[in-house]
Amino acid sequence: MPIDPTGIHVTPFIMGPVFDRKSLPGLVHADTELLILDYRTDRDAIRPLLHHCYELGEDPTVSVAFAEYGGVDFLAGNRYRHAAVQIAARYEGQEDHLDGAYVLVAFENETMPIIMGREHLGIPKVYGDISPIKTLSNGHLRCEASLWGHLLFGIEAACPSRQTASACQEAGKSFSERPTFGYKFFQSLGGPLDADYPTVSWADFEIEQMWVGAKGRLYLGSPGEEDIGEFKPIIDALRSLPVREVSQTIRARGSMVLRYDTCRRLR
Amino acid sequence: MPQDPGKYREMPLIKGSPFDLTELPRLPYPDVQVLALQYQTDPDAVRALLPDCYRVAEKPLVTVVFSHNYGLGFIAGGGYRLAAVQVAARFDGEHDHVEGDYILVMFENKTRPILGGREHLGVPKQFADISPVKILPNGHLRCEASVWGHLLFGIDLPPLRKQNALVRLIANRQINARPWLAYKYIAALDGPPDADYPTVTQNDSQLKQLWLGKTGKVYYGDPGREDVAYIRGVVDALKTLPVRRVEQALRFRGSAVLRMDLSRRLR
Repeated sequence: MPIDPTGIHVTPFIMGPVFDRKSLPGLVHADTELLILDYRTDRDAIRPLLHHCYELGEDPTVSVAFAEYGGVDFLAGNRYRHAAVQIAARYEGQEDHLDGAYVLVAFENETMPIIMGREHLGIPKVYGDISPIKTLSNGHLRCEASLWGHLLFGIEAACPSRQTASACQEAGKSFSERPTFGYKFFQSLGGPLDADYPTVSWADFEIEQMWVGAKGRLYLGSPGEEDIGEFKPIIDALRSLPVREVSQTIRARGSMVLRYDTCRRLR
Repeated sequence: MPQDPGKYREMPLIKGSPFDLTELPRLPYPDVQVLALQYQTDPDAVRALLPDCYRVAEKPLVTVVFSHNYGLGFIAGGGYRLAAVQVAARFDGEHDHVEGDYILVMFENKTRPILGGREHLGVPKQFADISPVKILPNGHLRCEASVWGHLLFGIDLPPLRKQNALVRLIANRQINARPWLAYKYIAALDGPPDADYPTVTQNDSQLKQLWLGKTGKVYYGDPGREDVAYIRGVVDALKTLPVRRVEQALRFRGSAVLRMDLSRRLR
């Protein structure tokens, strides 16, 4: 069985190519809801966690972003949830000069987008159980990520201020223009690394409804190694990013298209 | 964030390094139950599904394996189930001359071993829900794999006969003499693949109880693309392997060690 070089494959090969290399698609997430908490931290706290090919962004901002995606075309219309921690970063390469958000870790509750995110985009996705957006009796919103029954982290946000249609449009444009940075890294079996390079990806957002605020908090669980095994150092690393000031909270509804056609290696 | 080239690393890189590259671990599987059906098929049908670097073994055998694994240190003592379809194959390269079982697909119900298997061993793992071993009123044993509520495939084994220590010893040797053959492939969206080579993985099984039989059946679901998306192609491919003669039905309880330290690229 020859491997068709015109296709993008995700093993097993017997599944056939998932995309045509010459016409990479936008992956449709028709029904998208976001809950985001941005906060300022210490520049020195970010530096040890940022891959050395990236520089710190102008503001030492951490974004904790939860998303629920429905109508996902590559999952036969199914849904999945996502919880990412990302930091403002800059890439100054030989060809590329970009500001964006470097993903420290992204938890998702469905395996196929985890595999594709890791293997195609270089985004460090792993599995986590992720709550829906919960509305507390005081009107605050909460989302939480957990693993094998142990809380990893959560955010609580007040988003009281509903935005106008034009503000929603502006926000969608702003989300779409800001790229996501990854670092594709795969160890090999007996030889040089299979992959070891920075990546960039873009998504097109259309925001139909949005609420914003400036109050919220991040909370972290205290799972032990006996609870979540090798994932404990991830929580330890997130804990090393102190919250100096919550700068923004956002709840938004709309749609998203992950632009596979523009995802690439940074140079 | 500096990277130590002597350490085994994987994304997310903030997770740190669990072990040295020169001391890859043996992963103990202390509590394993396996249900398998092996049948003879047509060599041409196997050939169509094998990567070009492999060739069909003298006897065109297909093995459908369900394995239930518990007490796993690398997932904090948890467990997972797997369902694999593999074909007897040979690799005759410049250095290596190996006969084993090429894994067409391996479904598992936990993401962590899926990522490790794909990214380290090159095993084509995907997610599926996998049933426990079911005991029907007529004494038959069944296991099934499904995705999002849609049956992919299952096996049904009539009552098996418990074997003595001598048979167990021989079966143990035969099982351990057959490594997993796979093909590590990680696509890049904007260039040649990052990984593109055959691999071999050794497991050391220890059979504590063994039951054998000579009959059984494999059965398939008929999910559409609207039900299971790309996984539909996998089921279609498995259906092209006709059952000409059932060779062996097997159930065992015991333990195993996944020899990461012996996993390597085939040359």
